[in-house]
Amino acid sequence: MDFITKIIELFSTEKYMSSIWKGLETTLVISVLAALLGLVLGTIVAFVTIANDTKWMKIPKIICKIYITVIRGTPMALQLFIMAYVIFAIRGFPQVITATIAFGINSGAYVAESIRAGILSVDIGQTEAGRALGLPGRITMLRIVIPQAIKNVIPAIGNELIALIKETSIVSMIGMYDLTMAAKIIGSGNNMASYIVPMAVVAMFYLAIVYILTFGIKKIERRLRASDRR
Amino acid sequence: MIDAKNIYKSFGSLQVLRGVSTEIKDGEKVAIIGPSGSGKSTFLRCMNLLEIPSAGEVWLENDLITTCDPTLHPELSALSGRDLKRARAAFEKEHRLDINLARQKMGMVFQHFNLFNNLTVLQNLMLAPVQLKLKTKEEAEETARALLRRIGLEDKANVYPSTLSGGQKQRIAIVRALAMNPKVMLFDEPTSALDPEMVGEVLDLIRELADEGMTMVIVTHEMGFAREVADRVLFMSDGVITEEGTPAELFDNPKNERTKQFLRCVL
Amino acid sequence: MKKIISLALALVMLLGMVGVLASCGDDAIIVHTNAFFAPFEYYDGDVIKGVDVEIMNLVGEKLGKEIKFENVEFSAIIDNVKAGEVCDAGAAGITITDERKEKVDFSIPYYTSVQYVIFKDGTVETKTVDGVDYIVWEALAGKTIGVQTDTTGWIYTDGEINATEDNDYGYAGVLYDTDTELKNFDTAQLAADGIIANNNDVVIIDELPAQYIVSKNSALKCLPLYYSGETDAEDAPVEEQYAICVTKGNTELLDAINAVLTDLMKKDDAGKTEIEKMVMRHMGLGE
Repeated sequence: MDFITKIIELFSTEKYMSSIWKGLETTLVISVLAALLGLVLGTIVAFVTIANDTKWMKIPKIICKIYITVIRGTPMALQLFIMAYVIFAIRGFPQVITATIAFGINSGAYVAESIRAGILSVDIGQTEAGRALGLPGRITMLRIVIPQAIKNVIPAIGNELIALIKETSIVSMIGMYDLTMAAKIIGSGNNMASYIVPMAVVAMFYLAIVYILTFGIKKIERRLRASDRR
Repeated sequence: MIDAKNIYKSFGSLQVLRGVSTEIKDGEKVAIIGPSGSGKSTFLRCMNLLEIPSAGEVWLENDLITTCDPTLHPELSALSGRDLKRARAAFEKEHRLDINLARQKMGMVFQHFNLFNNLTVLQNLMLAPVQLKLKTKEEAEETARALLRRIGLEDKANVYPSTLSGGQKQRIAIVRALAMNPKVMLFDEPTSALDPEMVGEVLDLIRELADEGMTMVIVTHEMGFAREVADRVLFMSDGVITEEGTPAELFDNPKNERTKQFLRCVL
Repeated sequence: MKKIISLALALVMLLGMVGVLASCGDDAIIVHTNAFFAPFEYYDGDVIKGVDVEIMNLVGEKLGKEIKFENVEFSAIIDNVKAGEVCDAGAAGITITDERKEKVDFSIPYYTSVQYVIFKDGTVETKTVDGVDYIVWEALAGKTIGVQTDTTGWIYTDGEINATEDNDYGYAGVLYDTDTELKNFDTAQLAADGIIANNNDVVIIDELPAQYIVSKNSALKCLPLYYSGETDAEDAPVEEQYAICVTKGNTELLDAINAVLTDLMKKDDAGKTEIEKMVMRHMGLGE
């Protein structure tokens, strides 16, 4: 009962709700910008890793491999910490950018692997048939392989976006005012003096964001699948 | 038409082709038979560079499509170091044809059809001619529809490949290659992945092409068909051509022990 | 495809540029704090307020510079101030200790705090001498003690649990070898929630945050923490003094802070200092 009255108290206190809205804004801004950066970076890296072994691609390929290994092999919290306290240890540097870059770079590694796996999952025969008709590799990739890969890639990238949104909760570690920080503030001693209710409320907000995102991805997936059943 | 000279191919430490040479003449129909693992498919794929030979050369008409293999040219084999490099480059500059142009002249039909799953049947037929700017969209569609009419699948123009039977897929794959007006057709076991009742319709189409005078190379397990259609049969085993001749010579009077053994098993 | 890539690249570059622009030519004094330490610093909605904020704003007025507060983990403040790259000063109810003095310069102390123990009534043995209720370290033997990482509560507790005359600490810890366990939390509030969730038995934290937490949780109580003396009369509270720290060598800023603090600590006719009034005000207790 106490729990419910406290939830009502939270929602009806303007100060607390303004905390939530501000936190929500930060969470969304970081998530969207980082997702964009991650998609671009991941796409570039994916195409570098699957490119033919030519002299010019050797070093970029090695760099991409190291990038993927290091980013996927170390905890996000540490990457954020290094970004905030080592690389962008610049006076007054906007933390939103620090966080966007940290999460974008992290997300990029996972997106790259998803895209690479998606492209490799397309039967090699499709590429061979295109090349055997005299189509250059680029056109074969663009017209035949990528359209088929997208169907495999979208769900994986959707999962990555969901993970990204939830993972942004650690930006409170570097003092950023995101949803999780809002919960900590509302739960702090001079406010509600208990984390339980604000944490539960904030969890609902994360759930709602993820639910909306999942719904969108499902819709895209369905549309893509419809195209090959016609 | 196609001249394959001393082709070698290895995958890692596995040697699949060990010096295979043959010349496919204009209008000739050549069947390649042999036990599985003998390298016959690899050899066929070397002709349009889906596999890149480790050594040897492939010529299409008067154009080199592989890199230059100096051991085949007495005037080059004496050179070494930078001189050899320069001489090879000069030779390739003079004779080599861009592989994409070469492939436009060589239609390829695969065991597993490899129709583009993301495109309709009509789009499958139109993609290459339009993308390579050989035809306008309208011309390509006209050709495509004519080809579909020829194989009696005009009503399938707007469906996706996943809704077709194996035999239909393979016939469409054949006309997809024909849409490019190739000078030679390469068939890589075109009926091996088909249900028995569908083999006939595909072979009929290939036979029709043969009758029209198309130059073709067929890797096949259909001995009866090879005998009927081919001008010349190559028997391959262990990465070399063990025996070759007219169908009558090879099927009725094989000389090589491996050939005899193989034919005994399959006939 | 290419369009999307170039668009996104442009976006990233723009972001970077905004960042560089925003960080260049910035003349403000940047102060690091941890806004979970009411009444000294706390978030009111999305603004950081508190005693330390008021003090530093007065310093800013004195120097004619803007003061910018940034919220970071408490444990990062001293090192950030020491490096001096991302901030100029730390104002977070920071207790003066010898170790910290080696890294940063401290202002004059402006507040004396006592360490408090938060506990569930009846779970800890209390002592009453001359009408004053308190808890001695010995009463915490065998308990699980929650602290906020890098606060003095943590430093003291860690010392009492782990110190012997033979190790680096060099003194005999009261709780050494008593099965007393230390648990670290990000904030005092989390540590206090830990008591309710039975994760830890007590929390040791500064007086004011302890008072705050207890005032909103009827299940919890708090009392000052004492060292036991030879006799009851010699029992003494665990006291400490807060000060503001600046990067070593930044005398201009330090002098300005000291001047402001000296002013604020003058007693008025009623014997109250301005700082004490600020504390009352930020605790919501009026002037």
